[in-house]
Amino acid sequence: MAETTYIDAIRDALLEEMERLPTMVVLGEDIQEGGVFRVTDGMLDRFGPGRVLDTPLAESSIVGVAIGMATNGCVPVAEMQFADFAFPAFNQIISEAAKWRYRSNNGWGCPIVVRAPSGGGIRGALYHSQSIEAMLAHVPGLKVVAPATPYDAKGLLKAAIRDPDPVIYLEQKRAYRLLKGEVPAEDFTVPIGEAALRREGDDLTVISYGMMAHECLAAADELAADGIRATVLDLRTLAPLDREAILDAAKRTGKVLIVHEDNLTGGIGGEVAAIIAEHAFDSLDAPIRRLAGLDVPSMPYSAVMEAYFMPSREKIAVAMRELAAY
Amino acid sequence: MPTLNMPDVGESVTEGTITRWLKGEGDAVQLDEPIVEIETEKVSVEVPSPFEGRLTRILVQEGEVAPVGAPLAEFDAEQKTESREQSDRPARPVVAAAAPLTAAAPIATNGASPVPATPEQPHRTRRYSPVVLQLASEHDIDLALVRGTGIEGRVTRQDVMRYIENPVAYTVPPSREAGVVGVSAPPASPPAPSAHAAAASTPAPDGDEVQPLSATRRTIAARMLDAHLTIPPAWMVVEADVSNLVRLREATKEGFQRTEGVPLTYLPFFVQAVVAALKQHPALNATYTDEGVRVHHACHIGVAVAVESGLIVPVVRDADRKSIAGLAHEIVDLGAKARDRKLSLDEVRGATFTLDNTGAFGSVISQPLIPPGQVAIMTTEAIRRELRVAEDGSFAARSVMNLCISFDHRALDGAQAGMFMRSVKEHLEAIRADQQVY
Repeated sequence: MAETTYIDAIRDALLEEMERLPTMVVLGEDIQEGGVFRVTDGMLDRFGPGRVLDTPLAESSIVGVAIGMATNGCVPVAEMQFADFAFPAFNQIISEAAKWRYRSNNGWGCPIVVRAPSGGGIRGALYHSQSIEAMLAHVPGLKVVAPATPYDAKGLLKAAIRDPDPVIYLEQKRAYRLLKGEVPAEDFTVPIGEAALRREGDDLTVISYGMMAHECLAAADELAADGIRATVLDLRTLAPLDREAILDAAKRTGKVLIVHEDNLTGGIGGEVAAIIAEHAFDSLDAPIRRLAGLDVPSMPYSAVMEAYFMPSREKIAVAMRELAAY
Repeated sequence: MPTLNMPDVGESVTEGTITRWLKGEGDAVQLDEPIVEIETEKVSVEVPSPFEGRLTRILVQEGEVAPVGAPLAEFDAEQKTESREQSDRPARPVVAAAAPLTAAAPIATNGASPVPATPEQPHRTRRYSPVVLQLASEHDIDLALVRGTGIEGRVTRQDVMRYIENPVAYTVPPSREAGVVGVSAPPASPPAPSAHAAAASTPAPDGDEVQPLSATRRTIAARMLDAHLTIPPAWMVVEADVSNLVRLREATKEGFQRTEGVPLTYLPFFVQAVVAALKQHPALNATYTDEGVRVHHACHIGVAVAVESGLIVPVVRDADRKSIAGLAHEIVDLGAKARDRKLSLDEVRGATFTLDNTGAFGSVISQPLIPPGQVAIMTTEAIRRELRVAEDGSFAARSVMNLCISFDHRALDGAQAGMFMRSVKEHLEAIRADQQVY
């Protein structure tokens, strides 16, 4: 199987779905030129300006247009240049797209995909580092995915495009050219709503997603050298959460650490912790712990401060050791 | 009313015997004045008074055994002293997240002040997580018996799981800490903090007599059961012709005794042969774990010593770097300390291989249990005069002995053990009757 970068896996998924689905279009800022991250590089030449649409710098309009196209039989994939820029589109996403099926009494879906490069650790500072998943996962009617690997990036994007309802696809921008992995050439999807067990161990459970899943795995490797064996669960889909996988992983060890880069308060970790507390209380052997980005207004620009903000392999390892020793 | 409690003299000690009350009921006591002598399986200590006042009632009589933390006497004390205040804090430090749980607590020696008595267990040892309570109820487990390895001695889910699999091993600290048979780790502590008699035998209704278990005996019982339940043993015997060794010793022992002041026994020669064979076959000098077999660089040889109260295995450290005379001195020295109960913790732990001279009792064959933490144990059996046929067909009376080995079949196979035993035999048979002992 070929080794593919995370960004190539996303582009491959777009190209293959464009070939397969004549009704699919992509739209966003500068995407005819390939977009700032070059995800849509070469698509204009291949599919023409009728299916690869440049838009004004107006995210509300990008998603609004996508919703309109979807209701007229298209399958639009809208690109937010950065997840940070999605906020002007929130009204369209939350009040329109998410409610389309409900509002039409199950008459129509709104099969759009909103791609948004998410997360920091790239010295992107205030406007290029934000995590928006918790705000969107809170909204009924939306599906939110955050693939951690090239394989999942391709499989989840294809699943998102084929989903009859709106899916927020949070690309891990730090992963674009950092991560390589095996991705099959043949057509496949990764089902939305299924977590992936990345590592198994009986001493404690770490639940994470996106880039942080890799930091957790690295920390787990480090601890394994000292005989502390961790189960690591990669959520992959943040809405709807894979409750069964979460509960299985929690029950296995009774000690759970939840890690995400998004800031702590109101984050995905709180929801995961609540699910475990409600449905696996009798299996708990320690208080559920969360390790997350700091509750400060923004990811700082200074490299030192950025490292201070981010959960890292080292911080995760410390938290894991404390939990294992509890 | 304040009480004096059984002090905690070290991590692996869970109970002690009152050997002598130095103060009687009604006596006035000064702060830090010795009040009572206590003997544990490792050490004897005099316990200083944490109070200034009057001893009103002795709760545990001489000869009785009480667990750590149990009240021994009541006082009419004027005031709580500083040391008493300190004793209200949990005796154990909070375990740092990354710290391995193997470090042994310092051991008080004769005359040294013990750690202040602990009036209560830290609260975490009595609070259980939901999953621990669930498992305890499913498996009908008394959680007071489970050894806690979590923070502040908390009983964790994994502690309960391990206890379910092997109750004996997980009511006591892990035997790997000591690495020897029958020493230094305590037996399961009784759940109730009440004193129980140990010194006197109890007559049973049918006229039989129930002899209570000493601390050492109980430790040996737990160790042996652990060894028996957790290690799949295989066993083998080889015969060695030690005629030359016997002649060498006969010829040199008087001079040796004169110059060295200690007798020349066969044991130093056996240790040297074993060490030489271990160097050739390091797989026998190892610790088996589920993660992998840890082969030790150092050769620390445990030498089993029978003492009045049972079996103790002091350790000859770095035996590969010692001469016959050096080994002879050290073995005599360790044996004396074992009988006097003066061995330090370092002198009884860390053995990488154990040697047991069962031949001392005339045994010609024996099947020892493998000490947890090691992969093999060898016995040296009685030296006998036997007729043996040489290669040329002649026969003669020779001095022969059996060497028996029990080995952990998880870590080793018969071929490795066999090659090791052949090597020991060759080293013993290569000794010349006219060689120098030095």
